[in-house]
Amino acid sequence: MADDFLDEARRNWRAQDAEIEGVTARLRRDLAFQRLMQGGEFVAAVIAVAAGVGFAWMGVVQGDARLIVAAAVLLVLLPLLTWAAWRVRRQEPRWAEDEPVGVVEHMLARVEATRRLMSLALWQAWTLVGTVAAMWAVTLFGRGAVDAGLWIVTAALLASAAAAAGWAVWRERGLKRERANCERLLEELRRD
Amino acid sequence: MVSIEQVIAAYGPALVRIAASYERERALRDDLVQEITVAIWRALSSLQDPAKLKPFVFRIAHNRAVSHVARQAARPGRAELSEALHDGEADPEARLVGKERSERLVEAVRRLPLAYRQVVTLALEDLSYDDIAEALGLSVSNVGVRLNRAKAQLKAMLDG
Repeated sequence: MADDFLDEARRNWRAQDAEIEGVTARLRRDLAFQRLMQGGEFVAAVIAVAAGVGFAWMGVVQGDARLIVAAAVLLVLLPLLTWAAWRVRRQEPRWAEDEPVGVVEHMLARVEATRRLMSLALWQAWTLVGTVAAMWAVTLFGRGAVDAGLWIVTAALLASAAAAAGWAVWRERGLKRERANCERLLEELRRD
Repeated sequence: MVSIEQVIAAYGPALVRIAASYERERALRDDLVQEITVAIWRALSSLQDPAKLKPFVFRIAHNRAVSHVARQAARPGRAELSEALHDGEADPEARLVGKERSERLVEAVRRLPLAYRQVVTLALEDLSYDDIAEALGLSVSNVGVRLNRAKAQLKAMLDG
């Protein structure tokens, strides 16, 4: 059945085309870069493992503990970090399988998880402030001297606490907006 | 096996138009197109039936676009519509009229509720009801209902 409105809308919709040429050309370049990055990651992993084995062998032969530590970092920590990165990637929505509602529900769950993590950052800030308070209490009760070192440590800890608290508050605001946005999208998507 | 180059050649312009229906700001729209393409590239190996490529590509496009919108603090629509739309017509006046019509339509599509916007953008890309249903995980009858409501809202916005 002919649909004049939809036919005209399609013509107007496709009038965006000429501008699109530049974007698709950029896409091909971006994709080449992505492939290069993926190849680079693989090459870096192979080099890291080879270097780790080399350091381990040299460390054993020369009896040098520093080389053994370097080997342990390359052979144990690096695979662990790679595994963690793989886990994070797996936690992304399954773009080809999920439905739009599922994607937003996934985003909402991620926002909630991040908000819980943010509360840890605030606890971290309070711990730093508590540490400063304890240090000064000990000093004022005659267990140490008020010297330059104490002032430097106090300034460093308070600056860290302020930065952690500021970041947590700023991030919390963003997450609140993201949560509200997700809820609005869910409402729109569930509309019949 | 379908390659990503084939996908870009066949659906690149459509992906940009879909992204434009979610994101008005040009730089962000281009970023979104890139995110969509990378998601398609990573998912292509899971495509079982090459005949289903079209709904497969558009499902990923909409899912990625929805997550993009979810990450935005505000509704899409912070900047003006893209600065450089050219439809290739020789007559500047005709080009201007065509550009204006196109801009009005895209703007109206952006103002639709997401459930209607997704259905109408796929209909504008010539997907059948079956393919739209598959891309969005809806029933075919639901697609029909949403498309009719979307058209009614679009008409009201374009006539108003």
